[in-house]
Amino acid sequence: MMSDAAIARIEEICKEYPNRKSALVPALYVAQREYGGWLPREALREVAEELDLPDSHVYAVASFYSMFFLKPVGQNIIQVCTTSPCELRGARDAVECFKKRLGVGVGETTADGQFTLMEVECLAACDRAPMAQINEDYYLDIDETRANEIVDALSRGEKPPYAEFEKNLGGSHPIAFSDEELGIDVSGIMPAEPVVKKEKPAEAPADAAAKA
Amino acid sequence: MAYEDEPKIIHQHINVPDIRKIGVYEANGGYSAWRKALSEMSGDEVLNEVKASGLGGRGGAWFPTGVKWSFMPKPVFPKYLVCNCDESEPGTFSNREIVLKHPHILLEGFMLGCYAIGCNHGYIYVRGEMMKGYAVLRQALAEARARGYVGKNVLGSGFDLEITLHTGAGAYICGEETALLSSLEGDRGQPRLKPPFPAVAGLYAKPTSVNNVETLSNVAYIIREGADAFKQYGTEEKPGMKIVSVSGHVNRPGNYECPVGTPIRKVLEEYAGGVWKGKELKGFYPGGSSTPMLGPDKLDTPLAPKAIEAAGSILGTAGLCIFDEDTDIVHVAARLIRFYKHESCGKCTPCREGNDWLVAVLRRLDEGRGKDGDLDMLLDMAGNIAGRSFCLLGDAAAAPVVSSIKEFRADFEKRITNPPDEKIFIPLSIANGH
Ligand SMILES: Cc1cc2nc3c(=O)[nH]c(=O)nc-3n(C[C@H](O)[C@H](O)[C@H](O)COP(=O)(O)O)c2cc1C
Ligand code: FES
Repeated sequence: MMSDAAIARIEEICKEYPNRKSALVPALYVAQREYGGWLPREALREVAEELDLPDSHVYAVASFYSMFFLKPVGQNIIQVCTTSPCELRGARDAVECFKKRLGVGVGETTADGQFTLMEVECLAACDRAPMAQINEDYYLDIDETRANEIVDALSRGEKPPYAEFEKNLGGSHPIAFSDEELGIDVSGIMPAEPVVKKEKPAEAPADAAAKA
Repeated sequence: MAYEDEPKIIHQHINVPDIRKIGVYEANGGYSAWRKALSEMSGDEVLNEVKASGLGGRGGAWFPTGVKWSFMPKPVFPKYLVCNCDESEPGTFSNREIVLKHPHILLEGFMLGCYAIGCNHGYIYVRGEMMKGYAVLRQALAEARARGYVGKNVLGSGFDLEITLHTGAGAYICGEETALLSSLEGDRGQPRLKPPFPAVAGLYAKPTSVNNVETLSNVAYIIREGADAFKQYGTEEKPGMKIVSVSGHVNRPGNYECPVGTPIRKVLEEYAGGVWKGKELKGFYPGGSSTPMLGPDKLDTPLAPKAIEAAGSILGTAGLCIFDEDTDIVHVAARLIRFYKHESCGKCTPCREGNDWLVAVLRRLDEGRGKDGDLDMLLDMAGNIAGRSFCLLGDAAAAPVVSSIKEFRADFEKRITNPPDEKIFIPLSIANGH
C-alpha cells in the first residue's frame, strides 16, 4: 500500500492538469519510489484506482517507458550509455569495468540486491563519454579507477563524489552540479517531493532479481 | 578570434557563475524582455517580432517559429505552449546544458512564447533521465514565481500564466511532437496522425505549439534586442546562431554556439581541436544520428539547412559526431540501428518489423557472417521503411544504413568475406534483454 503522503502527492500532481490521466507518469514515479524502486502489479492497481483508470491502461503505459521497472531491481541502478557517440569514446570498456567489479552481466542484479547494471541509450552527455546515470545522477569520464570509486562509495551507502570538471578543454558543457552547489537534495526529486527513501527491494533478490 | 571571444546569443552568459540564480540572471539583463513585452507590447507584437527574426525551430526541422505560432486559430481557448525538452537524439546535448546552467533564459523565452500565442498554462516536458535538470528548472520556476513573473496577473499586466514541469520516463519517441503530447496526456508515447496538426488540435485537442528548448531560449534576445539584431548572425535562409554539439573522435568535444552557416571544418578544427590522436577524418554525421553520414569531402559544407541538404544530409539538431580513420563503420551502423529498434514505439509495421530485420542483418555482417546480397537487402529494407512509416522515426533509422553503405561501401563489402579484427571488435550486445 502506498503511504498517505504518496497519495496526497499524487492528488497534488493531478491539480496541474485538466484531467487525472495526465498525472499517470508522475504518479508512477511516486509509486515506484514507494515500492522500493520497482512496480509490482499491486502498485499498478493502486495507481489505476487512484487515478480512475483501467488497470490495463496503467500497465500499458508502465511497460512502455524504460524508466519503470516491472521486475525487482537493485538498490542502486548503474546505467551506462552505449549509444554510438559514447561507444566511440570507450563506453564498452566502462561496461566491462562495472561487469568485472560487480560480477554481473548487463541486465543483472548482484546477489545482495545492491546493484543492477544496465545499458541505456543516449543520455545527452556524449561530450563526457564514457558516462553513466547512477540512480538520479550522471557520472562522467568513467575509467576503471572511477568505476571502482563509484561502486565503493555506493557500497558504503554514500553518494559518489563528482570527478573534477577540469578535464574540460574547450567549448561549454552540460556539467554535473553537486547537490550542495544546487542547494537541493536530488534523491527523491522525481516527480517533485521526496516521499520516502528507497528501501531494499521488496522481494528476495537472490533468484528473483539475479536474471531480471 | 578565439571561440570564447566570439559573439553569442544563448551562450553569452552561460559560464557566468551562478547564472542559474535569478538575481545573477537579472543582473545580466535577464527578464528585461519579459518586462518590456508585458508593459509595451501586445502578444501579436511579440509574435510578429519573432516572425520577423526568421527564427527557425532548433529541434531539427527548422520550421519558422513565428509562422508556426501564427497558425494557431485565434478564437479557440485554451491554447497550449509545450516546451520539448526530451532531447535524446544521439550526439545532441545542447538542451541539457541550457536547462542545467541557464534555466531562466529558457523560462523567459517560454513565458514570451505563451504571451505571443495567448496561452495561460504552459507545460515543459523534461525527459525522465534529466532529473537534475528538472530540479534546476523547478528551483528557477519557484524563483520566477516569487518575483511575480509567473502566476495570476503577471506584473500587473492582467496576463495570467501558469507553468507546469512534466516528466517523461525514458522513450526517444516522446521527442516527436505528437508522441510527446500523447505522453503528456498519460498515454503510451505514440505519435498521432497529422493532420490535424498540433496547431489546430494538439494537447487535449486544443491549439498547441510544441517548441524546442533552444528555439525558445533565443526568444528573449529577439524581444530585447529586436529582430534585426538577431538577423545580423547566420544566413538569410536561417538567421541566428546554432549550438553545435560536437561528439565522437575529437580533441575537445562540447557545445559550441556559432552562427548558422559556419563551415563544419571550422567547428571541427578550430573549436573542437580536430580529430583526436592526430588521426585522419573518416566521416561524420552533421545533425544527430538520424541524419545521413558524410565523408571528408563534405567538410567545407556550411552548417545551414539548404547547404547541408545539397551535400546529401540534414542539419537536424546539429549534433556533429566525428569518426576517425580507424572507425569500424559497419559496427557504428549496427549499433545505431539497435538504438532505433529499441526506440521504435511499435505502432506501425515498417518501423517495428523493419528495424528488427535491419538489426538482424547488420549483426551478422558485424560479426563477419554476412552473405552475398546483404548490402542490397539492407538498402531494400531501408527503402521500405523510409517514407512508409507512421512518423519520421522510420526515416531516421533508414538514414544511417543507407548513408553508411553509400559512403563506405568498401568497408561493408570487405566485411562480408572477412571477419572483424578481433582486437577492436565489440559484440553487439542486446541491451537489458530487450
Ligand atoms: C523521432 C523524433 C524525435 C524527436 N525528438 C525531438 C527532441 O528530442 N527534441 C525536440 O525538440 N524535437 C524533437 N523532434 C522534433 C519535434 O517533433 C518537433 O518538430 C520539435 O519539437 C518542434 O520544435 P521546434 O520547432 O522548436 O524545433 C523529434 C522528431 C522525431 C521525428
Ligand atoms: S551517446 Fe551516450 S550520452 Fe549521448
